Amino acid sequence: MKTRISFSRLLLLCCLVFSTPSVIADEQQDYKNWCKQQESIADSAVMTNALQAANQLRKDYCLQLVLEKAEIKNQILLLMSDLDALLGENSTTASSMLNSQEALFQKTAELDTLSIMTTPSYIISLGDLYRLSEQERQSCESFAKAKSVNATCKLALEEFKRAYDFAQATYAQPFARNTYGELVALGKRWDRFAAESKAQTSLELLINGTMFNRANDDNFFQAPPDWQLVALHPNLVIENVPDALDGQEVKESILMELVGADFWEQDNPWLPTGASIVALNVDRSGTSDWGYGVGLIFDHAYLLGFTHHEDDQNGIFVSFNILKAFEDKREKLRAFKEKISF
Amino acid sequence: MSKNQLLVLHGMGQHTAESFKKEVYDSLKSAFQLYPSLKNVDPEANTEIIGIGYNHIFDAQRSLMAERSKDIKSRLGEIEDMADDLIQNVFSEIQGIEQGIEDQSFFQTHLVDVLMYRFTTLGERVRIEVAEKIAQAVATVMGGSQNVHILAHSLGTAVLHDTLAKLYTDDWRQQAKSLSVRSHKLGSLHLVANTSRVLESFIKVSASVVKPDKLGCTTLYREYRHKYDPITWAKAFNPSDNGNWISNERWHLGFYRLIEPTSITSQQGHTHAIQHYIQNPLVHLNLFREVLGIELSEQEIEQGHQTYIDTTLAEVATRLQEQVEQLKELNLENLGGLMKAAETLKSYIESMGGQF
Repeated sequence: MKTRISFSRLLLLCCLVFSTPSVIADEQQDYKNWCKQQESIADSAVMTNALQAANQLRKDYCLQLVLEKAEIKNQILLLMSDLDALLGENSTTASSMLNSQEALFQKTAELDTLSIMTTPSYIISLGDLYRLSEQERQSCESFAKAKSVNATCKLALEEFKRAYDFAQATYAQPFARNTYGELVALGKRWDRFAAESKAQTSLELLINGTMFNRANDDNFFQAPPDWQLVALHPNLVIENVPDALDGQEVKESILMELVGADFWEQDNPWLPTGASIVALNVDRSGTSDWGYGVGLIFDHAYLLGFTHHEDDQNGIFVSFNILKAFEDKREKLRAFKEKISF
Repeated sequence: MSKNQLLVLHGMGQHTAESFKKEVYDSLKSAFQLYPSLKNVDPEANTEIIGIGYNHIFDAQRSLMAERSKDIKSRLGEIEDMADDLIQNVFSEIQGIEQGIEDQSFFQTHLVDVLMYRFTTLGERVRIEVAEKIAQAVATVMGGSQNVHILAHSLGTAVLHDTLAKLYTDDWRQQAKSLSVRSHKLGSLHLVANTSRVLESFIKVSASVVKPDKLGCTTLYREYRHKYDPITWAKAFNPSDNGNWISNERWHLGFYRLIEPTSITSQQGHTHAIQHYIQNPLVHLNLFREVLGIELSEQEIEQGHQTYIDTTLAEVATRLQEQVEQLKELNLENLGGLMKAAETLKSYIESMGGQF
């Protein structure tokens, strides 16, 4: 048992040693790729200034020239002046959008993403919806045509959307990267839970699942449960009743862990990880078949305990898998000895 | 040029991230054949398709349980004088269930996944797995979260709904580890054969942030429900224009749309298959426009529609309609209804020589 724990710890250590640098390297590569991103501009583009400003912001951020949230926000909202020029002198849309984003940033440090809808009418969605007036649309068409003969208002708005969202991403994506990192760490914790916790029967899966779901009905991701209920969990054991008739002392049996609990993060090898109330039935001459008792769970798998039979005889038991573990080790030792013997 | 990302999430059955990506890719390629200008176009020309799989989590659990049962059963043979008592009976029952859990029957390969997702802790692990992939896409996609689109099918719609409901928050100050419905709003969601309501758990589908609204996690929300796909009948999600779910203005402007195809092109009547949905212009034209950035002329759309109509099978539709009509008399407003509907469709498809 001790060797197995040591081995699993060694394995975990190896995973940490060998996987951490590669995870960090992946993240660094992702960041480098992100810094290389630049929104491209077609030759006939209308919103060239906005696109260039958005690209410059990404460069400055990655060169750590612009890092303060408020400064990034200011540079993003500066793009609105290009939208203002596009929609004409009398337009209030760009200034309304700017004011609402300023207010949002002050309140929650967020900035909305921007999207465009061109049917049935021209609408900009930036938190709220901004429907372009006929006058704004005409100004937009004229502005686009003045920049390029083939350009349209729709094209110009789509270019602005690309520029704005690219700039907004320079602000928003680092937060998403953090969230991603948190989720990866949480996922790894769940993987550890799956690998190290006591094996569950389908019944236990359902019971523990129901308990977990009931306790976690809020809208954010949960860590694995600290403990799991053991219920009607079958096990194979070998029981020794010293006072039984000669030749009947040691018997194999099926044991049922009626109810118990196991704590998956308890990793001190000398302490049990859980305990169960157990019942077993052994066909033994001269002793009551039924025995009840308590079992201690070690390393989430091995059971060791005490039983009391109806005729006042007491027994002790160990689960079959302990013997199997020792047997495996003996086998490995034998193979090793054979290998090194000349 | 920005390259969008389309994350695709599979439904019930034996899928992997790669196999489902291929199904979606092939389906889009097949839909492209309806339009002369798209015949030689690669569906991934402007949009990267990324499969998200979660079946491996269920499979690992299934294997673990089956392996353990087999191991114990083999050791049982070593025990002499086995008494025939209550413990053994219960033990045998549990062993029987768990050893059979790796069988390839419909129940094991499809419905056990649904039960494991809904009623065990594996559901949370699945949601975290999916959330990781979504957050990664949002964090890295060129041009920001508006360039991230998600398509989910069948059980995948429930997984997607629940994941987004936990991943996104409309009060960012409270949960800084989440994504923001404002700063990280997705471009569009495409829910094919939506089962999210029948499997809803910690939050009602109609009350979550998974909606195309100012404080919702997506700009556009499309739901595709084939009239003769009975799996969609169980507790269908039917939001209304009363301003409770999304604003009246967004509703009228079409930020949410329910698309209900009726025609059938599958000889076996597999109306639930992702390929069957995507082959329909009512479905794929939304994906072309909103995800792949493809705008077709009115003339080409008309031509493509005509080509599609020529492949529809009215007699299959009539037969399938008769077969599934009886389901309407049953109570489908629960998980049992979903399973009954799935089994009915499966028997019909198999009776026609197909595979569910």
